[in-house]
Amino acid sequence: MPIQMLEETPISIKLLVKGYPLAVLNAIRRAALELCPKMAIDFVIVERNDSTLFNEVLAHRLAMIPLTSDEALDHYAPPEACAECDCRKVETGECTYEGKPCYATLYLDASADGKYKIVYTKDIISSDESIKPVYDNIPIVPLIGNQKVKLTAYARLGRGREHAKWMPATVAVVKPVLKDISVKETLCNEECQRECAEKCKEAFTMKDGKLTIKDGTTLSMVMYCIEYVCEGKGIRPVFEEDTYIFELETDGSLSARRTLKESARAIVQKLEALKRKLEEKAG
Amino acid sequence: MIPIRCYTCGKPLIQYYDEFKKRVEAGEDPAKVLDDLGIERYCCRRTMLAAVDISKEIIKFSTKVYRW
Repeated sequence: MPIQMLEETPISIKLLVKGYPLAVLNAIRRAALELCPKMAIDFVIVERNDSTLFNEVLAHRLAMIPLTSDEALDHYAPPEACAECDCRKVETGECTYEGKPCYATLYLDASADGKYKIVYTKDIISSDESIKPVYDNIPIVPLIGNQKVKLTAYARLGRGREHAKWMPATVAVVKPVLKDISVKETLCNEECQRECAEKCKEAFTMKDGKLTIKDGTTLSMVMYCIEYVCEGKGIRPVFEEDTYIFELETDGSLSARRTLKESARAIVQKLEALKRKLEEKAG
Repeated sequence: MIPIRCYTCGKPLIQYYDEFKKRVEAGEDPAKVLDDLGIERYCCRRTMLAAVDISKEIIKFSTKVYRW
């Protein structure tokens, strides 16, 4: 069953998928949002914070920063294994699972030195080369005078269902492909159709006395025309059967391709867990 | 400080803010600058347009640091 690539950049992907049921695509879409793991700062130990931002606000800002996690997915322990970790164990580096560490450590030590200064993500020092902020120029906190900020942040793998900071995808959409429109003659006769085509020149045109769509017309154009412009009763969009456009965009921490693969893997893991449970029940 | 991500979709936006502010203050059309930066969705555009950075205003009232 063919999957056609419409657009691809490192952080976004657009596919034309034929012959797959909507349920499968929707499962992948949801998995990209809530099941695919990525790296984000989980908790912060603040040694000194003289800035105008409270510790909690600072920790929240740090957590929102996307961290590169393409390599981390292989080298760090899965989210479920680290859920039970104790804070004190993390500080001493005891928190591991099957030889893989749970947490990566990031340090931030900045001072204003008498003038106004903004602390950027490029000031963060990471213990692991492969885990660093995706963007170098994200402002974290402003400082003035002799204010200082010194903190240690611990990042781990997590899933989007736990907190939105672990959501790799910003956009994950499955949408149908518009083929044509259907017109009920009893509700909208030829005169009504001609009126509609005149009012909505961008979307519709008249062909052999029947209302049809122009090339390049999108679903939102058709729906806008039907609902607000010509209020044509009996006009309905017709979609291509079993053909969908799948769109995915990530925040930069993972590539779009990797997100897609990891989402599919997460679904398979879930299905296997279900199968195991059922077999246990059956004896 | 202005938000790191778009409130609605979660796209990191703040890395564009310095350039956006500089270009808009130089007199360019904000819509054009947003197009240039690749901010397409209207949720991201409104987050960017509506963000007001008041950190410079409130930082004047921060407590003086007397410690070591």
